[in-house]
Amino acid sequence: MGFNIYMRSFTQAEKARAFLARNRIRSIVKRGMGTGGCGFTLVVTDNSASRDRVCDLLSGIGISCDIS
Amino acid sequence: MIYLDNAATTYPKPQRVYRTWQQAMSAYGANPGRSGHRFSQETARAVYNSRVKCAELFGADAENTVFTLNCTHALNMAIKGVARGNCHFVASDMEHNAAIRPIHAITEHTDGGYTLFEALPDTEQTILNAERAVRQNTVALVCTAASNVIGLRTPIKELAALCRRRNICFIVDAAQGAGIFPLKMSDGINILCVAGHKGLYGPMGTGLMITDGKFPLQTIIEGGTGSASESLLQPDFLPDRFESGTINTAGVIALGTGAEFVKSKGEERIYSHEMALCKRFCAGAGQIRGVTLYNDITSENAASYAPVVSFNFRGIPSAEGAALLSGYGFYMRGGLHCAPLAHKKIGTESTGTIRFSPSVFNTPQEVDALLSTMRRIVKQRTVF
Repeated sequence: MGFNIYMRSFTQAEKARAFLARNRIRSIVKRGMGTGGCGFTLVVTDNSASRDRVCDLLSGIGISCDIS
Repeated sequence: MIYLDNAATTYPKPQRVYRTWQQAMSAYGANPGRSGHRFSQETARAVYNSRVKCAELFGADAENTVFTLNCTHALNMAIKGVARGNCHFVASDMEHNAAIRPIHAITEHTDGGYTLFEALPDTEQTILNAERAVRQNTVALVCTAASNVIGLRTPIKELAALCRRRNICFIVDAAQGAGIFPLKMSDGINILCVAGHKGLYGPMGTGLMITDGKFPLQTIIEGGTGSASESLLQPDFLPDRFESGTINTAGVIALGTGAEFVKSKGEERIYSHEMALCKRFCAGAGQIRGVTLYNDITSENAASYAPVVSFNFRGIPSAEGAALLSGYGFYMRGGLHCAPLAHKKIGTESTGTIRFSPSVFNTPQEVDALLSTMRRIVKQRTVF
């Protein structure tokens, strides 16, 4: 089913998407409203990737999954 | 027309930059990152891709690479952003007004002030001079990577080491360095300010402020960023913190293509080509009685210089000399080049100079044609 990770900016979201793609994990960037107002969501569409694995990978490039 | 005013802005641009800019105007016409529709998202992605290309050229992170209007805009954000209370600045004695005016403006009504240090071809002496200028309340050392008047380069790595030792922010004005010789954030630069339309061969109205994130900056402009919109406070994350309002979308996308062009050519090759033209020019102009060279670039001293040469026809004001050359189709800039400090340093504050500044597209044949015309002008005017 995939899962969502809230991102603070488009730049951060696109950086995450491009990085996950290099790791063969599919995701898309969506603009929407979160608890912080207008923001961006990284929608991980790859069923084979767990949230823990994705968050672990993203922490390696300085992106935290816990900023929403 | 033979254009040799590339220190003001490079011309022509690579064909691929023109193409990208034209295509971007229609293909990426939505507001990037402001809306959720596909057009906006695709535009935002094109901007992001350009950001990555620009960041990579300087060994920077894309998130820390901020698009600006020009290098002056970037310098204002960096200098005014790092200033606190009665803080003091240190700058070289050949700074462009883009750096020295914001420093003057931010310190003129405080007890902080600023101190200029003498930049010399001798690295050790330059560092000693800079170190002597640092005070307890110094917050930043601002230094051009190369003078836009005499081309003298500054010892970036050594100045960075000094700033690290003294825990002050090192702000580099790379208007005459970026894309012309290698400059990396790993040299120890804290904030790199770049003109997009010069050595990066991008459109005018583009620039970059790149930070390593070690010195938090206050904003000088606040507004809509398309992020964290519920808050009245400016976002604290980059690049959004410094990119309020809609950016020059087509311009920054084309700037990415310019950065790609520089990467494909290689800065070492670009520098070598342009310096060869400067050496050729100096060797020829030095032989013309009635011409004064202010930075004679030779094979021996070339490493200390960027590809910029200042000269005058003796007895002819620089603006008039540049106008004479313009009449023969050679386009160069006369005057003070917005850098009165550098002119004071070489004693030309009342006359200015004519500036020869080639790009990657100029040729030795063009330099020879210029020299031939300069001989003709001297002969006609018997200016000595």
